[in-house]
Amino acid sequence: MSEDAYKKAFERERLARKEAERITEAKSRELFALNSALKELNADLEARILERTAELEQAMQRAEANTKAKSEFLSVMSHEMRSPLNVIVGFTELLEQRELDEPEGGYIRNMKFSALQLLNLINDILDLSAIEAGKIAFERTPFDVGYTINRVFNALEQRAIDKGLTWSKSFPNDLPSPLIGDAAKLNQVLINLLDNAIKFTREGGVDLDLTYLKDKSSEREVWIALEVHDTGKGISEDNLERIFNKFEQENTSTRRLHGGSGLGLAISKQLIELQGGSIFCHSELDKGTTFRVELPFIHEPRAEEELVNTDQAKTNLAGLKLLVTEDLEVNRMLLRQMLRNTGIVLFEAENGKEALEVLKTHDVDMVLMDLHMPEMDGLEATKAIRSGHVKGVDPHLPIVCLTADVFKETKEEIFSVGMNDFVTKPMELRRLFQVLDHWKKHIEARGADVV
Amino acid sequence: MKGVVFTEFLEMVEQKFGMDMVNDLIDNNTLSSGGVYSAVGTYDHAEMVTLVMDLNKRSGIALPDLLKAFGAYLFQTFKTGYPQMFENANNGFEFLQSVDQEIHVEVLKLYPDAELPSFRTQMLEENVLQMDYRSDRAMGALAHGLIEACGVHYEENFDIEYQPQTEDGKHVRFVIRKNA
Repeated sequence: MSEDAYKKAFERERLARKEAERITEAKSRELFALNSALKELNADLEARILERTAELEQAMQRAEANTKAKSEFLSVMSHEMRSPLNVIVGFTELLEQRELDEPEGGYIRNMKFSALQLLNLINDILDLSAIEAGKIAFERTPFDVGYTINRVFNALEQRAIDKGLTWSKSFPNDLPSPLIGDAAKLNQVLINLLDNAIKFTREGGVDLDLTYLKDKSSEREVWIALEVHDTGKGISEDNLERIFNKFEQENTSTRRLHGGSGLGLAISKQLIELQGGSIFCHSELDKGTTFRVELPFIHEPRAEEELVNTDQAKTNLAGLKLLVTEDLEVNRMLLRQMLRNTGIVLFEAENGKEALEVLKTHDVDMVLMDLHMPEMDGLEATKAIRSGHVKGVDPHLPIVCLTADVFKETKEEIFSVGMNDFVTKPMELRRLFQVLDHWKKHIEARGADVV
Repeated sequence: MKGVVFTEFLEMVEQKFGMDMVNDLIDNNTLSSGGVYSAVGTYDHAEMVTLVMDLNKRSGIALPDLLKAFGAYLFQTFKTGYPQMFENANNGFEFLQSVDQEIHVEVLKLYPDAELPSFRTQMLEENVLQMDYRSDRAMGALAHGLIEACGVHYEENFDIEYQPQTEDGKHVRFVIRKNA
């Protein structure tokens, strides 16, 4: 091969190399440009993500604020409805005691039943909004768990018998008493479970088992298990998962047939879990259903002294000079009826201002104080008394708040202004006597100290 | 046409016929590139046709045989230069089926303006694959060489039927039978 041929080949290779270099350089530039564009795009995307996230946060805050406003509205409305309804229930009860002839007696029973139904519904809504707002507070009062459960059991017995159901129970005889916890919430859960059991059972019966879970308990903590068995129609497996959901009943025909808000089990579950307990459901279609609740209580042997017997308390109250400060005449009337035959000397005032006047001119041992009143509310009146600037009024006077509020904040507020205790409306006779007795003893102890 | 086809073609000519043949092909033809090719460049397909026709004339070897030989040569280049093309194929048929579905897809990502032939495939029987070559370049014989080399690479005994579907050679059907 000629030298010339090599030269030509060499020249071609040289040119090809240059071209390849040129192309590579161009490709590098192209890649650089693309890379820069990608980086810009990336930065832009990140900025847009931040923007969107901020927008979403705002939207969420708005949505949360809306939900909160709605819950508050619902809560206020329920509250407003509950007060007059309590009065209706109270007076219906008073009428019931008159043992009226038929058909009036029947009318009264129906009135009471419907009023209670409405009250339950409103209470359910209030409870749920309190739970959802994280505002539910649990009382820690000593009480006899067996006695409380038995009372609920007895209260519902008539309904089971009317329906032709068997109604049985088994209680342990070694359950420590008293235990510290929230009796009202235990009642609420138990009533819900027993009520459901009666509602959904056509034949057979309902059985309540209370057991003392010794293995789970310790010296300071006592666990109990409550089992409600029924021989009702049972719950299908699909629905078993949903029964603890809000507003869900087994199906719409259940709602038509049996009524109710569908909130009972949802509330019960929350109330139990917030106290550290648990609830399970086991069911077989056409065989029956069992609900099992496991719940802890605090055990403190010293608490025993605080537990008083209602009848005994009643006699102890004789001579107590009590001022009832309450703007609604109906509520004052209700209290008058409840405290009848106790020997209590009752004074009445319609608002805080009147209460101060009564205190200046009369010798009073204790005050029952409503919160919301015209002219001067219960908090203002309490502050005035505690300030010591009201002439002739003992600044250490025991003041017990009457409140329909279940909220934690309310309770904190009443204690912060210097109230000593509270009784929730609707007032339970046993609780009222217990509180009055407790503070009466307190006054007596103080009197002894002074002497 | 991608520059790699030109550089590989001229390399093959140099190996089989010598450097003088390469010079003759370039000197005696009017080529807009001047016969200077880089693997990373892109050149007019007409130049390849000119070079192949002239090689046929000078060597006296039939055009289809030349293209087939080039196909076999090109396959070896792919094997050493682009091993990733073979990663997902366990046998000859899998490789042939991946040409349109995978390899050309990747080529287009790198060279969006590349004009690639299409290789539609269809299994006729368990051991029979039908492959349709379609291209304006009408270089079915080159494809034939590539398919043969594929059989050799996977050590499979291919029996290839070459069935032109059009007179211009732009659509050729290969029926490939794999013998045990």
